[in-house]
Amino acid sequence: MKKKKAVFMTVLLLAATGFTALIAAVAGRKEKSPGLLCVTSFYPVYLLAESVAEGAEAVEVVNLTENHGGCIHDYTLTTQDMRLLSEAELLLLNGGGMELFLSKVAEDYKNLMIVDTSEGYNFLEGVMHVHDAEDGNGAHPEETGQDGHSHALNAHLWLDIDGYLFQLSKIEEAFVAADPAQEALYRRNAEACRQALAALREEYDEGRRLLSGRETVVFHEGFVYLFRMLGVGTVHCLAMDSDTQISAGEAAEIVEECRRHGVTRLFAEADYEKTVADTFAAETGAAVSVLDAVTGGREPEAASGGVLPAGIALYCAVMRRNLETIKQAYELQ
Amino acid sequence: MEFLQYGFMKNALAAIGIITPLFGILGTMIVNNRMAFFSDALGHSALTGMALGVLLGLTGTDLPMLLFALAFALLLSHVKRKTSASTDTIISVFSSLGTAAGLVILSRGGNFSKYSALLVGDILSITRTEIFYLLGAFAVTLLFWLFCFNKLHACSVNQSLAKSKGIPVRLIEDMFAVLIAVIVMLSIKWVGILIINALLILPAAGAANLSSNMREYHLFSVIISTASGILGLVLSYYLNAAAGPTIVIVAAVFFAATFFARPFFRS
Repeated sequence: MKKKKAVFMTVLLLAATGFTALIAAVAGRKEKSPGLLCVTSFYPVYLLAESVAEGAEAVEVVNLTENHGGCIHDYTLTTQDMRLLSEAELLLLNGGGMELFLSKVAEDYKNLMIVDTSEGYNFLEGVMHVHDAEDGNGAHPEETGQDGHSHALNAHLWLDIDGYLFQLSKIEEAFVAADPAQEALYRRNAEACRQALAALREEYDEGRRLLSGRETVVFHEGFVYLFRMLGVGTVHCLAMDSDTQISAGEAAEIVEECRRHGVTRLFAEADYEKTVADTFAAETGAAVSVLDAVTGGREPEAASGGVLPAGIALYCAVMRRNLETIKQAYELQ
Repeated sequence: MEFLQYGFMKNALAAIGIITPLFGILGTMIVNNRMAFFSDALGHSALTGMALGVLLGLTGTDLPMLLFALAFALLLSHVKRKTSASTDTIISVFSSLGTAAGLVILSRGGNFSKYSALLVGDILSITRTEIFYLLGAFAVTLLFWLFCFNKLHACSVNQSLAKSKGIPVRLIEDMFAVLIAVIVMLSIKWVGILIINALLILPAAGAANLSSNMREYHLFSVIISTASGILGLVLSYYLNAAAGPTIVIVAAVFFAATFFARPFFRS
């Protein structure tokens, strides 16, 4: 009996090991491509990096979070991500506390050049802050997280075109520093991006003239930046990029604020449940529109004969659509 | 063995090499003493422990988590002994309370996503220092197992009999509860609340399918646990899957294999 069991265990272990070896053989990794491997942490940063490096030789830009939708506050690294990081030379971060999952990477990869693309940017404060100030209670317990990381900032700066321009310059400099041989190309691409963003900015300024002075409630932290460009006040922002339901007290407060400020338009994010926004709409009689926070989705495709780098063209298209949606919501068309 | 060229995989493999045999041994004792739900409840209490740390404004939440788990474990044992309600009911109450209190505090202002990594765990980010802590825990568990296992086993078979033999039942049970609390808290960041209990229970349950005596039981449990850990980690590397859950799936496959093989070992 004992022998039988020993044989069984051995066979079982061998079978399991064999299966694993088979998987390893089949899924064997492709060879590392020579040249500069640049890893970005997050979709908006990826779009910029793609644009700046477009047409560069032996440069590969890979996005860590696989263009998955939504903000990445709660992303967890997979083995493939870790592998990618250990092979990369350049890591571009969004910063502002967005990449909590990368907080330990710096210690692990000494050779990796890490660039925080929002370093030095004047962030807006996060939702809780605005809220606490209104309540007149000064405690900010969320400032001391488990790793001492502050999440009190509103890290969604890419939804402000000026913020995106800020990141663009940082990324341009990062590429030039990492690969000086192709400096001319990086500068040229960055300049094209800058012009595209400037044109987009003008359209938003146009929108500002029409929309300025209005007030709204948004269901995504990033939209505070978007509406700031348009001169639209966000009387309340509910961060829906979290796993938490809102409390009953908070819901009542939002309804109150909508009524007090006469808010008639609410804006939700495409990737997140619209149901919460719908509930408020039903309660207050306001209408809900859906905007895109440019946090994921398609791979940018180079348009045939397009002068613009693909990534930035995609960003501009999405932001233009957002502007249209907002104008339509306020019946300005 | 190309995966070993990466530092993070070496660290993860070392950690798995310590955690899984540890869980294999601990699991047999937990299953023996019918404390499967107890360790699960402890895992959930990590949320409250972390929440307390955040409330107190501490930068590291490891210590409050550990202290809270110790208090939680001892209190649970105490209440269990005092009341006539059935054990699983008491544990359920504690477990839900631990989860709820943690969620209420941690989700204030919609910030729970910051802590959700604790639910799934992340073995890939373990550092060398933390591996040494695990090694310490491993040594303590081995000592407990060597010196107290027979007494603990006696308690689990028949408390009155154990008492009559002069075994300090309360002390042994409390020591065991504390041991589980320490191990669970040390490994929860790497294994995750949602699956830590699966790793504790599955290898022992699989081993129980095959074994006819205590020696086999412990041996098989350690083998199954370690094999699941190493193979699961390697598989997760090639399949690009999260490490912890992959390990649990491998352990579940081992359980299924032993379960179906069971009739052949009935003499």
